[in-house]
Amino acid sequence: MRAVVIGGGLAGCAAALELAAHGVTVELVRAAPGASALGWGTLDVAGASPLRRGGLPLRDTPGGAPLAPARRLELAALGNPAHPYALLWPGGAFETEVTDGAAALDGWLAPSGLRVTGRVGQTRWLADVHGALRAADFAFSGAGEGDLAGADEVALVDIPGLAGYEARAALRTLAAERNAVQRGGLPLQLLRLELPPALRALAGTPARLAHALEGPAAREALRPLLAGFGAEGRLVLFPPVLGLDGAERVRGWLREAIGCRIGELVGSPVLALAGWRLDRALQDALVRGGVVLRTGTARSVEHADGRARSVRVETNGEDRVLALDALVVATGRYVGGGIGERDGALREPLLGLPLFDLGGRRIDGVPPRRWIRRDYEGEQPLFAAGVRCDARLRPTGADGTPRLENLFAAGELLGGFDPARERTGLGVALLTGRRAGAEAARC
Amino acid sequence: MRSHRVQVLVIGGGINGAGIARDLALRGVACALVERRELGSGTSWASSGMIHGGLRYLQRDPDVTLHSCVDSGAIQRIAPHLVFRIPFLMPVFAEDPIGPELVEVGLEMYDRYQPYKNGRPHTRLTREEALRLEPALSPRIDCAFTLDEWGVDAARLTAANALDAAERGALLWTHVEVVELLRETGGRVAGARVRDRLSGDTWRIDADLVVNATGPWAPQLAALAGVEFRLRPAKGIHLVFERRVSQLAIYARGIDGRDMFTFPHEQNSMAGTTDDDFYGDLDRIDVTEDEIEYVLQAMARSIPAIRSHRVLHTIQGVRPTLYGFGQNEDELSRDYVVLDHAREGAPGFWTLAGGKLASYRLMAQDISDRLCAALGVREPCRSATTPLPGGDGTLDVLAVARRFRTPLAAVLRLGFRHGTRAAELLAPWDPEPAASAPPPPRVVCACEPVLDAELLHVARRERVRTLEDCVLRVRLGIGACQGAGCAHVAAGLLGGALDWSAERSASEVAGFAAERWRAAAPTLGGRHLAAMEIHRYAHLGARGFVGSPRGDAAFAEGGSSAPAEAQSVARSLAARGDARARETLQTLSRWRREAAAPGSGEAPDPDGTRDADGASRREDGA
Repeated sequence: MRAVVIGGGLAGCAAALELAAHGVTVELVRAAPGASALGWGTLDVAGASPLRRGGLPLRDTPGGAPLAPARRLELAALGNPAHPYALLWPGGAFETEVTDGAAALDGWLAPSGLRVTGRVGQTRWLADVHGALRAADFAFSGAGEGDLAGADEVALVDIPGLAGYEARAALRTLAAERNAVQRGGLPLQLLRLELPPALRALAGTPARLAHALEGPAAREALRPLLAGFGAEGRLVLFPPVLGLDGAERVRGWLREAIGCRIGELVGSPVLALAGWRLDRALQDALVRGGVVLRTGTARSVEHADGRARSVRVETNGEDRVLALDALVVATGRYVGGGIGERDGALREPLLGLPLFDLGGRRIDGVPPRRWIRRDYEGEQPLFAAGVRCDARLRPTGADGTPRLENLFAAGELLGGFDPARERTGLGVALLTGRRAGAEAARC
Repeated sequence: MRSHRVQVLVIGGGINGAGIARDLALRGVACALVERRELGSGTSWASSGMIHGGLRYLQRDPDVTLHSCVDSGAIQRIAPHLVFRIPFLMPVFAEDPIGPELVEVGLEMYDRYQPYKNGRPHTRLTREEALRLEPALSPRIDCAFTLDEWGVDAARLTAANALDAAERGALLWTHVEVVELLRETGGRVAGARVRDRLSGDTWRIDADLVVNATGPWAPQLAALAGVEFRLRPAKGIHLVFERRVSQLAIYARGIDGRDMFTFPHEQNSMAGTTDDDFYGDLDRIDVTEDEIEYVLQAMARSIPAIRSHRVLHTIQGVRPTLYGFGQNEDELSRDYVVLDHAREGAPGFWTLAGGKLASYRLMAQDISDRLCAALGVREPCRSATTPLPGGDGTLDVLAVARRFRTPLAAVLRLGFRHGTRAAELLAPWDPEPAASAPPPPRVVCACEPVLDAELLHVARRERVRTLEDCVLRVRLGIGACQGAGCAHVAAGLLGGALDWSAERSASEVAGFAAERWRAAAPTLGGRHLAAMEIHRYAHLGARGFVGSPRGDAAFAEGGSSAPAEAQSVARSLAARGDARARETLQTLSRWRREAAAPGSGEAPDPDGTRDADGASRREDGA
């Protein structure tokens, strides 16, 4: 059996690895790194959001105990029948599946030195580079080691000149955040790390600095500057620039040099190296898993008798037709290009699948700007838009029946959820990706 | 209540008010300038940013063309750093009602005005020459003409005037609004009671004369003095494209025959403008799909590929056009008036209304002459010869870039906005002596680019008070990412300089993000959808618990959709004996009760515009 997965983000990779685990011959087609490569270090299955409306709550009553992520997850699924989570767990039995999913991902990434930390039953407190707190469930190495719970005191490392990072402001915000979530007793402080000139020159380009930190020269130059950073019970949080491929090594010698817990702050669009590491580790995992990686853009899907037969992929102007028995599309939304404006209207360009918003209203075929709502923080149909699926994650056509017998969808291409407001982005990618892969393997 | 005493109180910090305050300050007149938002945030910012004569006005308003051209020359002398030459290309199509010969007659007439504004005379190009010069142009053209105009950073020009006035002793307050006009017995207008919209403080300003320079708001302010004053406000929008869609400015014709153009402006191209009677709320001007389509349709005739370019955002405003009945918007005079309202029972109250950006200085001079006559001040006007701040020389950008180890592109922008003052602005980053050298200035906003040094400078020395002020003052966050990458860091820098609380910083960032959304949303499509997807992750996905109305207990009113739906699902599961579902059901009912209970939190805000310009949001800054 041969399967093709289109899309190189977490959803597509999870589907491909799941298929490969079932003994299926898999080719993964990707045009570019997926939106997952822009990630900041957390893997939100059901993170808590303080937004006025639309986010999953941290607590259900003011002053009450935080909800376990599992409860939030349940609420996300129950609160919206169109949500991918509701498709995955119509009966509500999701805890084991989330735990299994995280464990599977950890297994895929661990050989590259990237680990998945967290539990669906426990809220973790992670600070981002601006000092805002996340009530997260899962996270990757780096950010995942920065859980404020269990620390007697927290120190932010100020690296003067680093792009996208203003440590004093972050500390100010973190102090207020700490109070807002009733952890007011936790002492905070700033540790200033003046980079030596050779490294300082790279501070404006975080990826180059991260790369330089992997070298022995940086290690030797920084070691003496870190004296006094460590203390019993202290958590030392660095901005997320601690290495690229060799991030595990960098954290290792820093931990040893400082002598206490260290972690990274959750990133931002300017400091998104965590996504880079994830993307790289996923590629490694695909290669290890025997998945054939193809760079190119899927242009069309040929089908007959209700089944997809092949996909035409364009690479540098040359076409190649990949025959298949099952097809998983995980092409994302606007960043990934899975949906977007074509000829003045909102469309799913590959198969022309109908698109639906949060409330199940069909929204393709008209200019995207028709769906704009003035309230930035409120529901925006455009940013919950995607294809609709049956219980096996097969995209449905306008008539509500599966478009093709052996076509599956995963990740942000699915409609009915707004990952930015809900904080469910990579969680949906991982869980629907695995499920789509498993379903496709049954074709 | 605290009070201040001045000779002239100028109300309205657009280009006119700022120009008047500067003119008066240069003559030694004690004056105060109050602006209810950011300097230039009304019509001035929404203009095309051109100090041109206006070929368009030559037919009906030759005086407007003359004034604009003369004053354009003056602005070029006092603020050489803020202006840039915009060569125009006017294509002629075979189907145009006016053929090339007649067009050329008009241009020959316009050539007579060019020397006033250092413009070159027009040239006539063949079709081939024009296409070689501007490949973006439609191959359908018959021939084309060139003419010369000048662009300016209108917001910066406004700020430069106001800040210069302040340096010369004028009192300057932004985000301060007039609550009432003070009247003496006999009706004389003798000042105003004002309120700081951020802190809530109120105070009084006593003045011998009060000037209404509030542009389209002028009728509203006049009403406070019991004076009826009519304008015929007309809305205009511009589309702002990412980078340049053409090398030269290009004329385009709308479906109704109106002239429009697309033109390079700063880092972008802009296209516009529309001209439609406006009857709505001046504090909430929305752009419609019709307006966008009208502009794009016109542009597409001259530049066929225009629709493949990414529109970053729109800029919209209302012109304070003088009142006229029975004419099309376009035919209304662009002239200005200076009114002494003494005859209407409000002595001491003056209005300046109408006019063009290009002739602001001349208008300011005109009304200042009359105000000075009324005050008995005999100082002459010096505004045409005294340079604006930073306009007193040329910045050696290469030397500055080298000395401060700063990217040349950033120094060029810095020099453009601050002129010779750029070096002074960078002084705290001086790498000498090497022992205590700070790291080089950092690019905070990569789109434009904006340096941390500049943000700190405008916070400390230029009276910037909110993050949104920086959109106009330094063009923060209006590029490709619309503030996804820079808003938090910029707020951190401003917060440090202005002593903001974490709550204040959070609400500044939230307000900034929402405003960028409102500017980008009307034209949202194409690749910009991806940018705004990231924008939402950066702002909504990263929102912390500080500044949220309910703190960490900010619950949703029922997950991601209607609570009723969740409840019905949970109910059916509970009926099957699912214990967890029963628990969920209880949670959901509790939320609903709390959401419904009065005082349980903030009332839902139907369209999220609790306050059109964010005033209440920032009350915490007190």
